[in-house]
Amino acid sequence: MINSAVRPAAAAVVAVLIVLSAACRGADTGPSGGVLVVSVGADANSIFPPFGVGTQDRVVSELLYDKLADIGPSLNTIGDIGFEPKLARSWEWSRDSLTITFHLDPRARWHDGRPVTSADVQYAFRVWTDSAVGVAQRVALSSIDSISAPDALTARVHFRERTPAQFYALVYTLVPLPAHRFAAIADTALRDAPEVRAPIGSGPFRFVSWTPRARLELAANGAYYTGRPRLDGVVFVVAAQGATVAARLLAGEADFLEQLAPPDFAQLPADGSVRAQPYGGFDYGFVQFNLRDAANPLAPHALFGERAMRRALTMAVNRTTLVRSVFDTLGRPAIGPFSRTQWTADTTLRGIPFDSAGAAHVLDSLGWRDANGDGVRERNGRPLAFSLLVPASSRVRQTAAVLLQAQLKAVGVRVNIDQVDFNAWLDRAQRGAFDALVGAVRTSPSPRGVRDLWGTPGPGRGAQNWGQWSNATFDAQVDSALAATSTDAVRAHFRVAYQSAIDDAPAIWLYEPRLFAGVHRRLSVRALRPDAWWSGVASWSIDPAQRLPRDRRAATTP
Amino acid sequence: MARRLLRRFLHTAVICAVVATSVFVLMQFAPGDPFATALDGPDVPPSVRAEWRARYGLDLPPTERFVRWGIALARGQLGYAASRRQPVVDVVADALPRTLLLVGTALLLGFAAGVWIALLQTRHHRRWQDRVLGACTLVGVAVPEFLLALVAMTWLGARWHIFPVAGIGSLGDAAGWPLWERMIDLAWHLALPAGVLALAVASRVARHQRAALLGVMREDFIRTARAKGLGEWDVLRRHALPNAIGPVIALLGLALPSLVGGAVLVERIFGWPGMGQTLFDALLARDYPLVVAAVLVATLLAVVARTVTDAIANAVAPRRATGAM
Repeated sequence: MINSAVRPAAAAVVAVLIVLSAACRGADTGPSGGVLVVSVGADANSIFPPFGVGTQDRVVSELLYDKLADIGPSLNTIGDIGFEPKLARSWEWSRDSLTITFHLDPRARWHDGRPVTSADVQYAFRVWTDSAVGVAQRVALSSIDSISAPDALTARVHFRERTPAQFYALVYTLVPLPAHRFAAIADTALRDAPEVRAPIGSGPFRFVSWTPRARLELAANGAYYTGRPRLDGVVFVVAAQGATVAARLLAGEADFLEQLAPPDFAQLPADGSVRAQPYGGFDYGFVQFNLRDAANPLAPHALFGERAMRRALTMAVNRTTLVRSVFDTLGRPAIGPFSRTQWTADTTLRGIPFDSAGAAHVLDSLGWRDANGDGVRERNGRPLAFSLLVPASSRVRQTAAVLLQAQLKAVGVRVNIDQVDFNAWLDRAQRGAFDALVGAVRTSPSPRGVRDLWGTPGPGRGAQNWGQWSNATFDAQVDSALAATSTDAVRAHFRVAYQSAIDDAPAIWLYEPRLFAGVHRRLSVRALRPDAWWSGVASWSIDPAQRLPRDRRAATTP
Repeated sequence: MARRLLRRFLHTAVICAVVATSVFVLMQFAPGDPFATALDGPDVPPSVRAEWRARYGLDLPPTERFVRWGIALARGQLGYAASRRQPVVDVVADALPRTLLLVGTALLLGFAAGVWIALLQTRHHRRWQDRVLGACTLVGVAVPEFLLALVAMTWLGARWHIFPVAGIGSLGDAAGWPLWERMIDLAWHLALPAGVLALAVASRVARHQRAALLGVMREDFIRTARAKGLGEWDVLRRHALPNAIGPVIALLGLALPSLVGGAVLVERIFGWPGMGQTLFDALLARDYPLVVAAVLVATLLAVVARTVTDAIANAVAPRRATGAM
């Protein structure tokens, strides 16, 4: 019964947030003007929210479009605690938690001046759930039955079932869309309609222009319902080469870079014109073992089907040294199948310690010995060797693979690095055509993704568990965690689930990068939210004393 | 003349058909599909992947896809670029002029500089000027374009701020500038990428042009020109160069494909959104129609360039009397 437990607290939090936000706006008298230039390594593919899948798609579409409510700084995903009102000024739950009624802010307008109404919420739901449109994230809304509109400013969401994360799933996924603009376009034609490349949104910035693979320009929405953004505009400049992306910031041609790479730190100007601002991230990297034979998926893998072998290999890897070599101080060993930034993270779990002598002992006991003195162990004439699939697109993973190869060689294991381009890597991973792979994931604030990544493959779970690992304890505990309504219970279940994954070693949990954004000194930014650094861009400002000729443009826009 | 043009046209059509078919077939063997990356999320059910594949005809057997694609291509329809959410024609129309500008500028600059260097080397044959310039052109030929590009970007762009690090134009109110200011701005942004490519062209042209000039300088008509009292520069410019430049012009036509190839990396490094970058992204994204279109465009460019340079070489070469005594 999530509703009764959460509703009073939620109401209090919402009230406090409204008062706080009003107070903040009152005190928000910093400088306005200036254009933020963001240097990015990848262009957006679609800036229309339903079709966005990549990070850059999200960045742009979330500056153009507001959600009903947004996740708060605590990144809590249970109930609605901490969520901040956006297009919905307030909301209320029904007694059975199967209906949430959102009251839209009457001041909210689309960029063409038309009011945001409940019909826009209904239309968005139709777009997201219509199979003819083919929205990738529509499964996230599968618990919603329908959305009704009692009046123009009230949207009532009816759920099929109650889940602890139903509010998060709704507001984090569904973004109201301007029905008056798009409803006339057939759902089947929507994806390729020219209108979605120059969308009309409801957010703090409006679309100006887009030169694919070069730049995308947004301008401040002067009629934004909570007040005009301080910046006059935001421009994303694209360069596919990593060195160029950083060079733009270091040369002063850009103001912000989402993530500085380790080599960039040595290039930071001595005059302090660019600073590194830390923020949490949701990434972690690992070596995933394929527990099934690549040629015959019904048979266990000759090496990794054995738990003791997986643990021995984990034991043979000095992850502290490896992470230091790859990231210097900009990373740390991963603990398990989660990122430390997730609210369910537990840093007290027992990992498998580095012990090369112990690993050698286990391999000896399993019958793997170097009989012919060539440095590689054998058993029944078969060398202890496997291939490690690595995507050529990731220098971090390539370096990690080489270091791993050297470390495992020390205990008599031969690793053949199989480097392919990312698309081929993904294809082979999805088909299970690998022995082991170096993978990395960017999780979301919700811990729900762990079920798809590491749960036993089957209906509703394990869609990305390419190694086919299966553990009943893990599955049961994750299921219990995702059904629990108190944060303590969720954490307790996840603790057991994570520990079982660490003990069973379906992967070597390698690294967790520490994220640092590159920020030019003329730019004043607030704390960066780990899941969305761009969430506070409307409140960022540029020092008037450090304006540049490139800031002139947006000053002329309405 | 008409027959010759018709033959050249048929020749081009056959080349394009062979190239397009080869690329199409090769792409079928490449693992992955255009939506592998876009739909690589734990929330994406297999049914959505299947819908997307069906929408763009990727669920059809390769032979049926090939037939459909061939018919569409014959009608001049290049298809839809799923990775860009745009018709292929629009993507090409957007990127091709930028590549033509980049490569065209590099060719012109490189050719002019290369010929001038060769003239200087020939004028000072076997002296220190010849040796220094020869060493420079050797470096220009040997060093790959991407390395030159990175060095130029780092030093001339990021460190010394002489040129912009990357991009195709200034930010700010540049769109409202007068035409001449916009042209200067474009040239300023073009300087590094075109300069890097031009350096490679100039080095190759200089080496070939020098060899051709030295060969011509041994001819009897050069001795006659000198005997008439012409200065060495006049002999070089007015007599030797017109007779030695033809093969070098023809060489430019052959060099264009490799120049376009070099432009792939240069465009990526300098954030120049041309055909090279488009092809690279399309390959990584397995965007089959866009890859085929980009390769076709490159093929057409090579064929047209060869035709044009052959014609120019024929036009500039002085006709010598070859009749029997």
